[in-house]
Amino acid sequence: MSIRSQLLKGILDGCVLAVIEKETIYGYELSEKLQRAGLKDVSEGTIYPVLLRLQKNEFIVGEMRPSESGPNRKYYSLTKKGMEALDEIRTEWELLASPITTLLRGE
Amino acid sequence: MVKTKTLIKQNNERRKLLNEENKVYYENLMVYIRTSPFKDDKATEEVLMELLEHLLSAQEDGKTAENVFGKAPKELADEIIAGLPKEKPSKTVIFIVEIVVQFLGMFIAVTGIATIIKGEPKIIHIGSASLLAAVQIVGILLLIVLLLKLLKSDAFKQNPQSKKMFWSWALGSGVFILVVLIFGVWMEPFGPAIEVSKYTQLIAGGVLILAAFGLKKWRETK
Repeated sequence: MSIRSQLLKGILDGCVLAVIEKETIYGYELSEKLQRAGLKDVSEGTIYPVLLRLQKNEFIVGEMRPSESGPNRKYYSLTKKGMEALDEIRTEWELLASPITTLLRGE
Repeated sequence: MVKTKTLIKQNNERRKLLNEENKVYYENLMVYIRTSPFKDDKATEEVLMELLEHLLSAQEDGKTAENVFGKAPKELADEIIAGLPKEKPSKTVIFIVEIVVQFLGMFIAVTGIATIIKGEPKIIHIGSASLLAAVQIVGILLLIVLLLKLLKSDAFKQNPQSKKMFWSWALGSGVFILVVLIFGVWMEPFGPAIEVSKYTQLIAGGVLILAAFGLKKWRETK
């Protein structure tokens, strides 16, 4: 595993939650958003284990919507528990990000 | 709400739209995930549908399955399986009972036909008949485990070893039939004996098969 994917592993859940917080979204759209945000080498498939885990933890709910022609899409939205988790991740990230940046820059 | 059965049907249809390379990749993933036992059927089919739709959209953008799902499909599949919710225990039990009842029904019906051809009422010894049934039930469950293992072991192989798979399966079934025959033919009958008319066995087998069918329908609505 590359260093980048190791680093990402811990925080990807938070990124996915943050995208879903903004709008109800399905898998393909979600991976496009992540890529456009700059997380280019998140393999698209890896979002699915993340989505399953977030559903198991009841942070998000998915609803499969049937369509007459074409694809069935599963739309995800954040639960109250998910919002709380996201808030916590945000706080923790803030606490970590600046000291780590300072340390790594060697200032 | 989209039903599991509908999802499987739609998956079969939509899958035809994949190009050859992507289809091979996807179907390996699909077989591997589907053959993990005791996972919630609906959640399994939903995630398979999501992966399929994702791949179809990516294919339109000119991407391959390997671009989308990476070079290690087995690892991705294992992560997905780990994330899938467990099937409700009651559902698992019903499923196992259903399979057992169905096979037992078929066996009893077939022996029932043999009884009718012989044209004599049959004497059944409760003790030995129950033991034989128990041996069959265990055998059937072992065969199912073997089948799932075989299907799973072949996913993601460059050259599926269908020959090896066939012989493993043939050997498994052969051992099963042999054991049943040994018990059926050489076991001394024991336990209280009851005499049943020549049609009873066939009818009992038929009832069991119908019961299994009923269980299946009921399980699918849950």
